[in-house]
Amino acid sequence: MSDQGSDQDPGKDLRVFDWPFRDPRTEMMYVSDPRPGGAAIGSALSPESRRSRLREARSYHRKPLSFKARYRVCRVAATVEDVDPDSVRALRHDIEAEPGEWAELVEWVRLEWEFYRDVERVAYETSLPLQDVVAILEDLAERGALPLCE
Amino acid sequence: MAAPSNQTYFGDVVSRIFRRHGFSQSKFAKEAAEQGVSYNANGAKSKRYAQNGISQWMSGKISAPKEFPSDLRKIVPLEPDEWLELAVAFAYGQDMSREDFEDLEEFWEFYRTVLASEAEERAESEAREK
Repeated sequence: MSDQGSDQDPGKDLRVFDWPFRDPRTEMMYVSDPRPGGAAIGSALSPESRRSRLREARSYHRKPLSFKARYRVCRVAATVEDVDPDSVRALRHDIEAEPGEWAELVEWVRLEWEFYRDVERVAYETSLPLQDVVAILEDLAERGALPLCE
Repeated sequence: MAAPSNQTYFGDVVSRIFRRHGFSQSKFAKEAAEQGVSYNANGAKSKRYAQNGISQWMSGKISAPKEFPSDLRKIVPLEPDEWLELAVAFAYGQDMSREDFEDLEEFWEFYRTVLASEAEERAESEAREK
């Protein structure tokens, strides 16, 4: 299975594989070396988590110089404290690169945030992974589109 | 499958070395201090003895000081394969579980094989076209 990257050279496609990780907390491993990068995604992930990790891997693949590590091990974030800042940064890159794909999610998170003003509650209500919610909120805040606290 | 431990791969390797040689974290810290090698509660080298620091490295809360593998070797008589495993775990295994370390190694090996196989197929295809 491969995910066509923005570069049409088949040799530069991001390769994606399902992987039965031994540690149930692990959701994805990405290796940038050897090139092109490859991602192992947990075979038991929910569709939302899988989509999130694919988007994250896409950013690592597109911007290798921004994420210089030879490998990334991504684990489930059960609380806001667990969220990996590099995962958020990668997802924010993807939001900028693929705004159409994210538009509906961004609006949904914005509306839920307006009501709940709590990251974990918004994640619960939208069924989105925490790193997605944090990335969207940071993007909205940067654009000045986040509802202000009363 | 057993539940993954909260120790990192590095912590797991150190635990096994300690067990095999009859050490505990506190015994090691005490003997290290007696030999003028000791670590404070934050895991930094100091004149004060603290088992707490060693525990924090083994769970990945803080990085072990770079001298730790060679200091451990001064106090515990390591076999050559133990030393090698400790060195690899120190370099690569301080921020992941043993399970993740094994998965990463396997995935890396698998992925290299996939790319090598694709390169071979492309070369054969190009040779056929010529």
